[in-house]
Amino acid sequence: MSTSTAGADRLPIADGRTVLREAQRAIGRRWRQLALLVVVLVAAATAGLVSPLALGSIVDAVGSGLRSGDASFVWRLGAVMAGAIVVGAVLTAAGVVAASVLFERMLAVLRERMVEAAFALPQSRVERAGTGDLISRAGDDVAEVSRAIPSVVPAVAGSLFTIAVTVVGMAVIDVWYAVALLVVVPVHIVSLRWYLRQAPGVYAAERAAMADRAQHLLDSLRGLESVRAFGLGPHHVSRIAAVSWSVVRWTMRARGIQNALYARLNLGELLGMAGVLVVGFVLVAQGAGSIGGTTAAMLLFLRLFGPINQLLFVVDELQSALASLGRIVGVITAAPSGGLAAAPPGSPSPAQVGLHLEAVSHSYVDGHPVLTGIDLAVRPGETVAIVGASGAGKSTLAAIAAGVHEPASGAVRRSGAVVLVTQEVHVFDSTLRENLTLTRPGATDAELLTALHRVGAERLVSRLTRGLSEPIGASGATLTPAEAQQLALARVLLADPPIVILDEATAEAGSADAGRLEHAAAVVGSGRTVLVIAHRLSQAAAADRVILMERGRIEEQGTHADLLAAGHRYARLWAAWSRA
Amino acid sequence: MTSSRRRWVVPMLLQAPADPIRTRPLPFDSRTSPARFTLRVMAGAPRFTIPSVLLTIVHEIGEALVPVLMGLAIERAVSTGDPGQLVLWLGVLAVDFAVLSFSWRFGSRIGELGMLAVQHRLRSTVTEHLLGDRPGRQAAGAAGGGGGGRAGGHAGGGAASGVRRDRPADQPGVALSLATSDVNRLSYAVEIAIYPVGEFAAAVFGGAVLLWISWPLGLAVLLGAPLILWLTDRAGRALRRRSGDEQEAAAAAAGEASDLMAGYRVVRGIGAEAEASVRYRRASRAALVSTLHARRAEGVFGGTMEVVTGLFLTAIAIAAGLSALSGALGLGELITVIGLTQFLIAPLRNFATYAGSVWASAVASAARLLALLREEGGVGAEGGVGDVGDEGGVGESPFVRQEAADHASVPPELGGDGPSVIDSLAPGEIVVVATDGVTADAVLGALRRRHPAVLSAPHAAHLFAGSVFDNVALPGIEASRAHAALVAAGCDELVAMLPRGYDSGVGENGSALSGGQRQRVALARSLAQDAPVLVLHDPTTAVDAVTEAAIAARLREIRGVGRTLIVTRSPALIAVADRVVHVEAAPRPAAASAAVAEAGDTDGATTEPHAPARADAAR
Repeated sequence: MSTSTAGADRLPIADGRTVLREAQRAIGRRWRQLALLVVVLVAAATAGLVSPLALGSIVDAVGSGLRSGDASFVWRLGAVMAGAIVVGAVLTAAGVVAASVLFERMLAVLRERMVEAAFALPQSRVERAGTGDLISRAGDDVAEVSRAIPSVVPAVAGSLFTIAVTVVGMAVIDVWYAVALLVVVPVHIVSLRWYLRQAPGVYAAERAAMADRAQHLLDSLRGLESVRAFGLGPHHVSRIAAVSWSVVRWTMRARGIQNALYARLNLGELLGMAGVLVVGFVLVAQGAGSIGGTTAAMLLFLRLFGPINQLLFVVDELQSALASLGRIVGVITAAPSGGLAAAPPGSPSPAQVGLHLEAVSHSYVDGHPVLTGIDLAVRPGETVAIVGASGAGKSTLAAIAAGVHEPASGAVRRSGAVVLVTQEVHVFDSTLRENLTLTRPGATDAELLTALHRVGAERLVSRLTRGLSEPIGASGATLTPAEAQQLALARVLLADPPIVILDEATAEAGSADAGRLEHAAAVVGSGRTVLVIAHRLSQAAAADRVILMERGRIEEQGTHADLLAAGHRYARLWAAWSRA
Repeated sequence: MTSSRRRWVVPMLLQAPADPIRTRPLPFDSRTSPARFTLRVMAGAPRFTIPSVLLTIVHEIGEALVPVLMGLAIERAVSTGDPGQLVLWLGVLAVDFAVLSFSWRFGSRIGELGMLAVQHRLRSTVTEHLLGDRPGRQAAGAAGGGGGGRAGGHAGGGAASGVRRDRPADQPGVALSLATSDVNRLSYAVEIAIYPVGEFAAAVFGGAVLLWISWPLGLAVLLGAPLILWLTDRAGRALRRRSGDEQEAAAAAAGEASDLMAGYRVVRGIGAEAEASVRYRRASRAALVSTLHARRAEGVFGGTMEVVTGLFLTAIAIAAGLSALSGALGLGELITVIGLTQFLIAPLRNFATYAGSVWASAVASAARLLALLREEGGVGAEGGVGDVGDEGGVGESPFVRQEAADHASVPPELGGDGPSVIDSLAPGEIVVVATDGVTADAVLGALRRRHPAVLSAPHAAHLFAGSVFDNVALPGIEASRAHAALVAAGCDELVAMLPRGYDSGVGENGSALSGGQRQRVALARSLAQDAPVLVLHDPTTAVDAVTEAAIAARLREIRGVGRTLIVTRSPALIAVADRVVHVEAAPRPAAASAAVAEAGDTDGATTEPHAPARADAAR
């Protein structure tokens, strides 16, 4: 619906507490599993302490004058180290995999619940927010979180525990080593805060520039025919070059910030090493510590460089993943609890009312009425065509009749389920068969082929080498606009609803296809209550009744013959249209 | 770039300049192998790579010195209790950190800039190739049948939507991936000339120190470590490949899931919410299963790597410990050996794995890009139609063959070698060729080939990113002319309907507009050109009858003395035409010819004697 421009009325974004609550629900309160995970990760990190401590002991053994006769001591320590390494590696891998599994499951549950919620929302709510908002949450935000999991989860699960346990390990050697380490903490905190102020904006801008680049490239590639026809090649090449270079500039800026963070981390490393050396110097001088202890503390500290860097570098990723989670959970919380949206209320039997609009008025923006006082009753089995200039309110009328929008005032009554087909067709990225069974799950191939045949799409089936099993849509065969419309009409046949609303459903095709599509639309409409927004007067002529709209009001109505006889606006239009 | 507006800009040296950096040309010919081309890319920006590699070497040696200095400091200061030595070694350590930090800071940045400059150059070359006008390709969308006398021999027809995209590179998605992913991967080869070199230097330096301390240990590390790492990497390849496959499967399932949401309105329109939810869940579960497989494979690989390197370090430590017990190694040397070996693992691992995988993916991308850049009749179907088609350049799919077999060729004045209907147009004349479907495509294809200079606007109303006005006022078009064209194409009502009138964005693919609005803006774009001859193809199919009548009425005024040919069956447009040429496809399966009959002057049009002619006058 072109008329409903994306508004400011976005879907809500969940706050931290709500995200946490929904995440817990998604994980399913597996507390025992979570506790076990923590135990495994602590054990893994502890196993990592063994080697540096054992190496310290070897240094002390050498320093205290043990000689080659005591080689068995070294061999024993070596065996302990080897054992600890194997145990540590196995536990780390198991812990990281288990944590990934936990979070991947959570994400899967959340995204499924979001989609269910999206279909349970009143469509008018989604239209107010713009479907783009919803699509970007289902696409970009889900992708953002799945991208973050493989880097954030190991970093947090591995590094965080390693850091914490190492501090404890250094304190075990001597508490002063841990104190020396804590001196480094402010350096890292200041660096991190600086980084978080700078980086997310620049990274976001870099990503936006990349998206912009892809967008411009795709735009020109999709419109290749127009690019060539209008000689726009050089213009578009330079336009793409400009956005491509702006990616370079943002990437360099991001690299600059990253390098500056590295420099600050280097400073922290230097201060930490100096601190450990000074503490070791003082302890050894006072006889309170050994050279082996200093060595062990130093090795432990060197081992921290990697984990600290890893942790700091995922902080911004973690932040944006949390923001995306907020947007995903926001959809879940926006939906009314309990199942999918109910079909439009079924009312009296089809015999009395097909589709009835009573005193319907509507506006998207206050003070700019799009529809005013529309009274329209379509009898069961009747086909009513609506004709009018662009902007007369035809599409809005169709959307309100179909239940896409709630009218600002007035009422809509329907005898049963309504199917709305618009110019906006979507070929789903799956097989032709699955594209059709969407409206009738479990339909047999014979039923599907019959439906395709009835809308005149037998040619489509024959040109696809694998017939119904051929993948179509984004990653399969491309359908022409006319074929896509035939597909949409075949879906209607399979859905078999009592009421059909066709909003210029035959508009995108060339004139040859249009004739075929008009015929298909007529087939789809036979035996149903039909409201058709016609841009071709032949459709109007074939309808039981014609309504001419102008500026949101019904100007003329009656049968084609009546309106011709009346000699007003419709008659003049018809004369112009049929002259050839 | 918006950055200049930001206040927080930190003083950072070596930012990218505002204008692209020019780098060396990257020549290639028909015999250039992908590997050679990759080497040329690697050498594409020596002004950047050479300083970068020097600084990277300095950085890596600085890193390797850290454990050496640690050993020396513990031996000379901690074990002796000499405060002077402590101060001395702390000072040396600080200097080393300063050197390693700043050399990285600038070295990596210079290298990155060089890599990006080469990448930009590559990308520009690829987009120029994808979008550029080359002889024989001008009317890429025409995809029509051939002229008379060639009937049936070549691919014709084509989708009503316009561009026939026969080659993979003609698919926007494939072309996008060539211009982004492949260009990126190939340009990463520039970094092979930088970081692995630095890592190699670190390994050589560390190895020299180890050899100096104890040659058996040094040899063990220098030979053993790369071997073990290389072997683990090889053994892990299957695991990583599996993880890669699973990731691809996960991405495909995720794509399917988000595609389902992209059809949100359609799902709501046909009331398929429940089924769509079920399908989303199914796709989501499939994605989850693949993702979990990938995570497990990665976990096993990472764990194995960890065990192997850990055991190797332990072995070196035991050997060093034993040798220290035997008195062959001093205390400081023991510490240095342990620290240095621990440090060396990272550069050795990168050296053993990173360079190889970057090289392999760069060469693969180079092969794809070379294939694209060498294509002569490349993008668009036109190069193949009639000329290459017989050799199998196009028409590979059965569908195309089918069309070629059963559609008609076109009458001579539309498709032959003599004077064409375009040559016969009088100033200000509007002529309609009344036909549609594959015959229309054939007529347009033939006319576009014979009159490559004539503006023949495609039927597919593709609008480009930007505002309505940007799409109409193309470079060189005056604003007043664009406004007049917008009015003529019935776009005047957009001013009131769109949030910012003509300045409103049209959205991706024109998605902010309805089909009818898109088509009218596209028509305005053609009319604004004020071309001496303008060919239009079904310009008003998505426009309602009321508006279409208005557009038809305004057509003559906006075209002025320009000659206009419209291929359409629209009654409203036929009604305003000066002449109408009716073309009807011969009934299938006859691969013969179309019939033509014309009212008024025939200007050289031959009417097939056997044709089921239907003459209609319209004036």
